[in-house]
Amino acid sequence: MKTAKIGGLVIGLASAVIALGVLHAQESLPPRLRGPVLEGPNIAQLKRGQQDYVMRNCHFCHGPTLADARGGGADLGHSQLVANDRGGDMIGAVVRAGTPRTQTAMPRYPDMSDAELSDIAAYVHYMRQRIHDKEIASAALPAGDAEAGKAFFLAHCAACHSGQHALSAAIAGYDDKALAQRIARPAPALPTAPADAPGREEHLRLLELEKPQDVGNLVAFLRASKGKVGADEIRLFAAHPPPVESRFALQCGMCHGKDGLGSLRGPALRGNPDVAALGPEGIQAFIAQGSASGMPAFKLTQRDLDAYSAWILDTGARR
Amino acid sequence: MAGKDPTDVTRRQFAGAIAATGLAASLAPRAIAQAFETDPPLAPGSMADLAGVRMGVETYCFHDVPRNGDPAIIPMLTQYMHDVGINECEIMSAHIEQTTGLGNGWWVTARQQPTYPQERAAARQWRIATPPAYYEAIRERFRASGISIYSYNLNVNETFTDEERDHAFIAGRALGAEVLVASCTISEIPRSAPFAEKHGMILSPHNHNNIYDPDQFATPEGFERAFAVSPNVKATLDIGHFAAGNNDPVDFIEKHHDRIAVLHIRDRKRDNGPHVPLGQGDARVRDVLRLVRDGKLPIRCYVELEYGSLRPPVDEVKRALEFCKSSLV
Repeated sequence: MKTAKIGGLVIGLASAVIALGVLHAQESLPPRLRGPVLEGPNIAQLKRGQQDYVMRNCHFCHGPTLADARGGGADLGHSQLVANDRGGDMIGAVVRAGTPRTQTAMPRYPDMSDAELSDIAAYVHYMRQRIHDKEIASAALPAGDAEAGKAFFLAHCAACHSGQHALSAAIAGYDDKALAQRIARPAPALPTAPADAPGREEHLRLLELEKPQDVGNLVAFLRASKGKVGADEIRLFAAHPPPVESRFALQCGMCHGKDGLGSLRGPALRGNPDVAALGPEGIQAFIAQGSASGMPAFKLTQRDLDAYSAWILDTGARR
Repeated sequence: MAGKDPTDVTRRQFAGAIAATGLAASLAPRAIAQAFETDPPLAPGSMADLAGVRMGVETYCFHDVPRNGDPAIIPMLTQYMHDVGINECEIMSAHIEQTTGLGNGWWVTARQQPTYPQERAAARQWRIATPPAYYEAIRERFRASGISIYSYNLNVNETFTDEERDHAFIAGRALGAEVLVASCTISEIPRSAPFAEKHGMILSPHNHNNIYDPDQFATPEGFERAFAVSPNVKATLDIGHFAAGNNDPVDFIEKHHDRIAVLHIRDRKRDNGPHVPLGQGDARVRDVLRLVRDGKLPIRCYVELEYGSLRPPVDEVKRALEFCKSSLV
C-alpha cells in the first residue's frame, strides 16, 4: 500500500514536471513569433498549433500571424484552399505534398501526424478568423447588392435561418452598421463563445469566407427581404449546386488557376495533352492519389470527381 | 553521417518519448532549462578557420534581425557574428538596402501585389541614387568589428534595368565583397555577367530545388549552362537545397570545385523534404566539409539555416558551427 502511494506520488510529480516543461516551452515562444493572445474554448489546441506552426517553420514564409506572409509564401489569411479546409483536410494535403513547382519549392512534410496537422489547422483558422474579423470591422460598410446578398444567404445562411429561426424579428432592431456587426459577430461574441454554442463553428467558418462586400450585400438583402426566403427557393438552390467552374476555382484554383489554365504554382489542366491522355478515370485517380511531383491527394466526392474530370476534358458531361 | 542530436526534437516528439520511457522525472527539467537558456558566446573568430576550412555565415540566418534600413541591423549582425565566433560573412541585401522586400522584384508571385509597381520603382531609384559611400560606411562598421564581407547577396532578376545591375556590383565592390550572390534564374546570367566582368567580381548564382522549371538553378546541368557564359560565373552551391532536389553535393563539388565560390551549409531531406539541423538530412554535410578540408579547396563554407526552432537564431548558428567543427577538427 505504501509502495503504491509512493508510486502515485512519483507519477504525480513527474506529470507536474512534464506539464511545467510543456507550459514553459509554450511560453518560451520568442516574442517576435507570439502574435496576439490566444483565447477561446480550444485554447490548448491553439497553443499546440501555434508552437507546431513555428517548429515546422510555417511562420517563416506565411508569417507568424498569417497577416505578414512574405516573399513567395501564400497568403493563408485569404487563401481559397484554406477557406475550403475542414480540420486540416485541404491544408494537410498540400503540407504533406509540398509545392515543388513553386519558385523556391515549399518543402513537403510527409511525416506530419494527423494530430499535429489538426492543431496547426486550428491555429491557422483561428488567425484567419481574426484577420477577417478585423477587416470587416475596420471597413466602411460597402453599398450592397441585394441579389448577391440573397445568393450568399441561400448558400450559407438559409439552412439555419429560415422557418422558425428566420431573422425577420431580429433585423428590425438594428441599423445597418449594427446589423453588419451582428452578421460578422453573431451573439455570443466570437471566438470566445463556448464550444457548444449554437452555430458557433458554422459562424466561425463563415467569418473566414466573408469579405466586407459580402456583409454589405447581406445587409442589403436582409433589409429588402427581412430575411425571408421561400422554402421553394431553398429547395431549388440545394438542387442546383454552384457550377463546376466555381467549385474548381475554390478547390483547385490556387495551383491550377481559376480557369484550369495553370498558374505559377501548377500546370494547366484544360487543353493539356498529357492530362487528356489520362482519361476520366486516370484524372480521378490522380486527384485521389496525388503524385510525387507535388500534386496533393484530395478526398473529393464522386460527384466532384466526375464533374472535374468532365470539365477538364471538356466533354460536356455532368457539370 | 552523424547521429541525430537527441536534444533536437519537437515538443510533441519529446513529450511522447518521455511518456513512453518513463524518464519524465529525469528529463523534464532538462527541457525546461533548454527553453530558457541560451548558449554562451564563443570566442571571437574561434570558428573562422576549422582545419583550414574558411567558415562564415549568411546573415539571413539571423531571423530576428529587422530588415530594410532599420538602424539596429548592423550592430546586431556584428554582435551576433562575434557571439558565434565568425569573422567573415555573406550579407543579404535586405540587411543593407533601405527598400521594401517587395521592391526587389525577385518573388514572382509578389509582383501581383497592387503596391508592387510603386515599390519596385522606389527600390530601383534608391539603388541607382545611393552612392558608394553608403556601402563603404557599412564595410567600415564591419571592419571595425573585425568582420569582412566576402559576398553580397542581391537577387538580380529580369525586372532589373542594366543601370540597376551596374549599381548592384558597385554596391558589392563598395562593401568589400568579391562575390555577388544571386538567387536568380539561368536566363539572368547573360544579362548580369557582363557587369561582373566590368567590375572584376564573381557573379554567383544560388540554387534552390525547383527541378521542374528549367530556368531555375536546381541541377548540375543548370550550373553548367551558367558556367559556360563567363569565367566570372561561379556557383554558390546550397547543399541543402541541392540534396532536396535529389542531387549529390559531393559529386558536384568533386567535378566543379574550381567553379564554386561559396557553399551554403544547410541540411534538408531528399524529395523536397523539410529543412533540418545539420547532420539530420541528406546533404552529406560532414562529407562535404571534409572534401573541402582534404582537397584544400578555396571555397567559403557559410552556414545558412532555415528550420523551425524555439531557440534564438544565434544559438542555432552556434550549434551548426559546432557540428562543422566536430566534422573537421
